[in-house]
Amino acid sequence: MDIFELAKQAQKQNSATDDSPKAVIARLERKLEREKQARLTAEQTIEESSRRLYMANQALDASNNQLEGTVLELNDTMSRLTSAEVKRQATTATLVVALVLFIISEFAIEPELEKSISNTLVLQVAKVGIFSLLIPFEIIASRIIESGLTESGEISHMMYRNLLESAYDDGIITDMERNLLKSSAAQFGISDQVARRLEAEVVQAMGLDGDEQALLNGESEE
Amino acid sequence: MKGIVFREFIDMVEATFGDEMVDTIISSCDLESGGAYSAVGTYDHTELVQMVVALSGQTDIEVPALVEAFGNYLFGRFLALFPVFFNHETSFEFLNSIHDVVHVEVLKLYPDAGLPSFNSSISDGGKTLHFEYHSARHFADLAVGLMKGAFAHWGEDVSIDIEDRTTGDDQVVMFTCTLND
Repeated sequence: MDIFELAKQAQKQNSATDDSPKAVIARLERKLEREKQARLTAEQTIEESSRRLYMANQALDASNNQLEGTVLELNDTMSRLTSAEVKRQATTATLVVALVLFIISEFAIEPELEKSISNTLVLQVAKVGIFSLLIPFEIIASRIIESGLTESGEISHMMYRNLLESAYDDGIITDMERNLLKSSAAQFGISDQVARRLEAEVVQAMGLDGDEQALLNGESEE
Repeated sequence: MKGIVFREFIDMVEATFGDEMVDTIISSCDLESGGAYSAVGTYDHTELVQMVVALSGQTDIEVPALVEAFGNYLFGRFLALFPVFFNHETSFEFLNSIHDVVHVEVLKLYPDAGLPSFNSSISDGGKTLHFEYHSARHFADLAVGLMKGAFAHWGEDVSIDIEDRTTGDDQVVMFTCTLND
């Protein structure tokens, strides 16, 4: 039943009403005191909540800093991996060049020399001469291939692409992921322009809308 | 118990019986809080029991009727204060969401809130609601008032069958609500 209907039925309260100014003032004073107490409780509660929030915020800040440290470490590891990969490919290139030169000298030049030079001593001198002539060739060829590898940036592009893919795995780029991408691009020697192109490619390949806001920000910074 | 319930009770008494009644019942009870309630505070639920008993003594209205009427009033207040929880098609759907949605939100804000637990299920193509009230506070009458407030809000004619299943210290009541055509 509705409380107002119940109140109508309750006649007892009307008879007890004391409306003398003194009684009214005393009632109001007690009410004022209760309201004041309630306000104090509310303020105390708010203070406790603010303190809790502040502490929670501090804890979040601390773990954020820790995460940023981890990100830097990751970046470092990644750039070391990249340079190790470049070195490995360079070594392979050097070996291939050396092998090619060896085959040329052993099967093309030396048989010709042996045919035309009969003196053994002269022959040996000529062989050594040819060999020493080939060394600068090998060095130059290796250098060219090495620089081709790093300049085209295939490895760093590939690694940056991998990073982008894992960052976009959940469909969004968090602030931390954005920072990681930026510093990685710098470490890989990828320009902002190339980084944006790679990002657009990855986004398209993954069929996502992309982090348009961040892409726009990146453009407006230039 | 959360202060908002006490505040609403005081407001209800003041609106229906006048501020003298509030003063009378608070003075006649031995309340730890002194009757000063803030909506964000937490208070001993026995203070509410004391005040309801005192109000019953002053008005000659039975305690269960008062508690139920308060529940009915409280529903309207919750609706006005927290409308976001009431966007359901039917009262049964709303009541069915209290334990898993409304109380979860309450606990996010007030991890220390001692809430009653509700086991509920809708059956019979939405025509029957089994709603089990489980609480250490023994306010099943309040739950009845809140449920009746909900039925009135959704404009439904619902019969409530009440079965007391209390065996231990906690009060356990099974409400079987049936929607009448």
